[in-house]
Amino acid sequence: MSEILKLEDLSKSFEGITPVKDVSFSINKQSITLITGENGAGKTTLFNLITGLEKPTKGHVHFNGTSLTGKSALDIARQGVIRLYQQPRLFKNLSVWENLVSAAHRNSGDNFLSLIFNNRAVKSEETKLKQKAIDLLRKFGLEDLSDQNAGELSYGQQKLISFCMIAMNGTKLALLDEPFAGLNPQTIDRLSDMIVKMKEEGMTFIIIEHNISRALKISDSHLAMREGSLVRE
Amino acid sequence: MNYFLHISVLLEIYILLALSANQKVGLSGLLTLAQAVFYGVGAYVTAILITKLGFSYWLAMPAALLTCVLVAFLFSFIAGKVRDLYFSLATLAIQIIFFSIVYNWISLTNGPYGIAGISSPEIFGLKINSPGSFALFGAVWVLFVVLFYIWFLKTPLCRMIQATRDDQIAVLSLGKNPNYYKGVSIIISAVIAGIAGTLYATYVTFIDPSSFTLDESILILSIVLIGGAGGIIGPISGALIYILLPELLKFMKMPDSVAANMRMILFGLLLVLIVRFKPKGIFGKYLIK
Repeated sequence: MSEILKLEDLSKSFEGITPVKDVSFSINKQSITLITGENGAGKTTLFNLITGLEKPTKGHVHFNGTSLTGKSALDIARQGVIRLYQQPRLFKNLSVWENLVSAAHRNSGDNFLSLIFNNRAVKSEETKLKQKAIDLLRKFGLEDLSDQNAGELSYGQQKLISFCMIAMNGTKLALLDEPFAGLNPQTIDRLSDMIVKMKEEGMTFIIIEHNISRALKISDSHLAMREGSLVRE
Repeated sequence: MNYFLHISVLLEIYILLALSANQKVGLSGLLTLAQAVFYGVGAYVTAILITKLGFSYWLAMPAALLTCVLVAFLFSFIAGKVRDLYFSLATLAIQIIFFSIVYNWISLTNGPYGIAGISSPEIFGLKINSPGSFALFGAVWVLFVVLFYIWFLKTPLCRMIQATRDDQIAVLSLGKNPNYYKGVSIIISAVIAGIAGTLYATYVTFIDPSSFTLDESILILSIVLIGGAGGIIGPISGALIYILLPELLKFMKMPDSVAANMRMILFGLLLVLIVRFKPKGIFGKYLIK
């Protein structure tokens, strides 16, 4: 399997603290990598460095053979590196299908000039995207939620929908920050199935999770961090 | 009859202002305290071009709207840098700066003395200067803007504007630029407020800084709060309440001098009641935060 992400001597320092120290590892496509470590071990900072929310003091991040170092968070997300936060971030005043369509990577209807001058193509694309969103919801057994307002969903449902959104987005590498936190065992099972199914369809995952036993069941590899460094690979 | 038509023109102007504020506040979640700036830019640019350079309305109006778009870029830049309360404070500063400019740049704006003699629009040689013709002219603009919103609210772009309002970090995480959506929203809002400004200047034929103060911006925001943000009906109903309230007071045989003050007292009371018991406004779809 080919490599999708490679970190080389990645470090971050500020105000005398080094939350990430010389971290190097690589991840293969269509894999699930679990990163564990105590609070303050540097896991979240590592995610921030990969997604461009923070700039590394030293080292490089390569994604699909191109360097991400110095690129903005927006540019990195546009390349297909998407982060899901611990709290699901849905558009709470929009319906579920609207959330999914909004997550679509390309939508010509987002552009004002296309709306004015190419309205027919925009409408046709919108119809296709809506159908894709409903198909995706059906695939994960969530089609009943399609017309519901996202703000009215339970916490667990919101998490499941946020996973459908990354699938809709065409994400290549998903960074999941504690995906199982606050969920009941049934929803964790459902979410695990979704992650595995998405992996089989081509997506790669890096997961930060404290529910280690549950996360290990779906992971292909396990990295452990302590005081900013990788201690086990 | 003329009085009824005059009220209709004012109502049309306030409907446009409320819809413009709703674009920013209701659809984008940008709590602006400077909507009167765009109203003022539209009015002043129209007035200056007509009275000083002899432009017709049909040349002055697009120039005024273009100026509104340029000012909107400044707002978009600010919206890209600061959020929530800080955005509101920045718009407050712009509102104060705008008022200071039009009040003190006497060579251009005639300061507190205002600009008089603004000629009315003409269509095919017919002057639109009677209350009846202006009410019709204003109605065409309102219809145009309402039809625009009936279409725009269903578009993917408007959905992304609302998504950005709900969670701009999520939008960014999905590889989309939230500043673009905020910028488009601010420009649309600026153009609609600018249209209201051009209508006001050419209807009243005299403008001075007192029409474009912080009070006016807060009033426009209150109209949206009362009517409800996020849709079309809310802002229109807010404008209806604001304009028609003093007319209802007249049925109570209240003298005009008392009715004017009573209107603001009742409007303020209504605002308090709405915030307490119906925070989304009468027809609101979105809770302004």
